[in-house]
Amino acid sequence: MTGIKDRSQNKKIWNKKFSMNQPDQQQNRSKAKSSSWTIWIVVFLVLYFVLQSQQDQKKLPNQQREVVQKDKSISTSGEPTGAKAIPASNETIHQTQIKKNKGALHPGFKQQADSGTSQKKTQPITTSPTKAKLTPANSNRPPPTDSSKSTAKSQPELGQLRELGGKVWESAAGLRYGPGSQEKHRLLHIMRHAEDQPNRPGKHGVFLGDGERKKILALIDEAYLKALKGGRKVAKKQEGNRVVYTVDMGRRIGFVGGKVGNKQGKPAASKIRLVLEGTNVITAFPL
Amino acid sequence: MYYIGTCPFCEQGNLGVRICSKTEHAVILCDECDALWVSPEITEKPVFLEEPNLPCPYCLGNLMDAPARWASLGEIFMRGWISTIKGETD
Repeated sequence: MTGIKDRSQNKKIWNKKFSMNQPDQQQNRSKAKSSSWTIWIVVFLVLYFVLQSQQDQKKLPNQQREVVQKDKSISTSGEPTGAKAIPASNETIHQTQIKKNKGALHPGFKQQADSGTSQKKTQPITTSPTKAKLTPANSNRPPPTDSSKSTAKSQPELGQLRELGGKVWESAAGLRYGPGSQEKHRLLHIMRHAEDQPNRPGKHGVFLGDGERKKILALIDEAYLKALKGGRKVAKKQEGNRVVYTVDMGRRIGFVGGKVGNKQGKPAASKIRLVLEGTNVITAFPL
Repeated sequence: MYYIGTCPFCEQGNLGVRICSKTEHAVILCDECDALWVSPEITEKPVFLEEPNLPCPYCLGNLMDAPARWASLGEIFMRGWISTIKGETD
């Protein structure tokens, strides 16, 4: 009997101990959990800030590179340099245009150039998305989508011209039209192909576009950008510093006129031939 | 302009006989791309003069400014090139 009593007493004591110990263990567990959470949060925050700082460091050299490229693409006289500044895509066209605009004033006044003082001779470029790039961001989260949106908005239209001085005009794609030819200026020479010359011997390519210069120059710009990209639809022939590109535009961009074209019933033309000397246009016509 | 054929370089321009501004040298010049040949033998590679003045390859004259001009029939005849003429443009 005494043994049974002892056992029951032991059980009670054990239960008491157990019931006393249980809250301690729960507390310990919850403490351990909370401490592990705080550790995870701290680790996460540290990783986040480290990654952010790395991203910022990556962006800064890019911005510096852009500024250096601007300085390189601008000669000391303020005139843009030639083929190196030619972009391969619309976005880069825009950026180089802006670079040139900025440089046209003075490299030291890049941000002032953005404010519009360089617009006297320039038709299109009004806003500058690179301005936002050059300005150090206050936030650690740069909005890349904003810059791309503003770039698309402020892209100069193909066919638009800006004067470089010396009767030289530069198109949005970077082609230059200057003095030359029997017409005394390449723009006038190109505009010979705005309408048919039915009595001209041989073929005479005529651009669509109702004789509007801007539309014709836009076609030439488009052809030039395609030519720079290359591919199966582009044929290139070089003779000294002259380059002849024949670009299949994949659609009707004019017709073949002249004596031969008129005999054939003015067949549609879907190719543009560009004769260039560097970025200087010698001639361009449909064929 | 009297022409001797179509330019083999740009394949569109007409090749005329051009007289230089100073010593009246005659050359063959494309009216589209300014490719130049020193004689009607256009099977040779063309020459491209400095733009925009197109200095005469023989003298200090040029092919752009007056009195540089497209040759008349008489001037072409005098140079013995009359047989190469295919026709006249407007």
